[in-house]
Amino acid sequence: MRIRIKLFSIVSDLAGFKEATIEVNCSQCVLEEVIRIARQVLPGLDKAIKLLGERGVEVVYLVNGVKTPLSQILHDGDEVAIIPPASGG
Amino acid sequence: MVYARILDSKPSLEEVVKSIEEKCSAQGYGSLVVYVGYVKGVVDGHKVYELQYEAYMPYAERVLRMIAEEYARMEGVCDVAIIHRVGALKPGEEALYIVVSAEPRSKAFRVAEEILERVKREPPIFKLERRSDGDYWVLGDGRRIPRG
Repeated sequence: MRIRIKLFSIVSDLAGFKEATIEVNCSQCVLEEVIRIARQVLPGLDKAIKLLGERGVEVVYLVNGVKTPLSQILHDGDEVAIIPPASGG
Repeated sequence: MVYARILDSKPSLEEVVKSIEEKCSAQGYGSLVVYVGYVKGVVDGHKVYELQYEAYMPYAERVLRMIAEEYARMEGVCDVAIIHRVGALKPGEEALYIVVSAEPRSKAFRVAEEILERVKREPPIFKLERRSDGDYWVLGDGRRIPRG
């Protein structure tokens, strides 16, 4: 299935891209597995998450715009956004 | 019906206030609170050139609407509007507008303040602060991380 990955703010700045589409081959892929595959095939994303982790910043995962547990099963065409803590206002 | 928008241009606050005023004063509500958040000119002793706001659309606007609807359903609240601007904004420019009509006035003030705190952390909106000592990503807790 195809999953669109979207990055925002400091995550996209560190990764060097704003969006990508990845192909994952599993029938019951949970978010955690998709993130693992995305980090493998998109080295910039892996670097960004590691650098932010070293600075004590935990990224947030949204599936189709909604904060989602890592155990959530994804479907073909889902969009996963990887964001830092939001900073409106 | 609440008004919740993310805009890349300056809205007409007067029109939003007038619309809520007409609806709520006719229903007997006695107070309307308007909060306007501006881009600060100095942060940590450094001059701010601009704030670059980015929103994850359409989801950021949906979260604003959800917050506005939640408060508009509360006992004593007549109507709520939340407008957040995106793009590059200079110091002194308006970035956020919250309008609450409620009865009593203490509720209008309290609801406006609660909405402000939620808007700062719930909708996927992000900002880059460009200032005299460099560019900083601003994170939800107010923490700043130098760019690059």
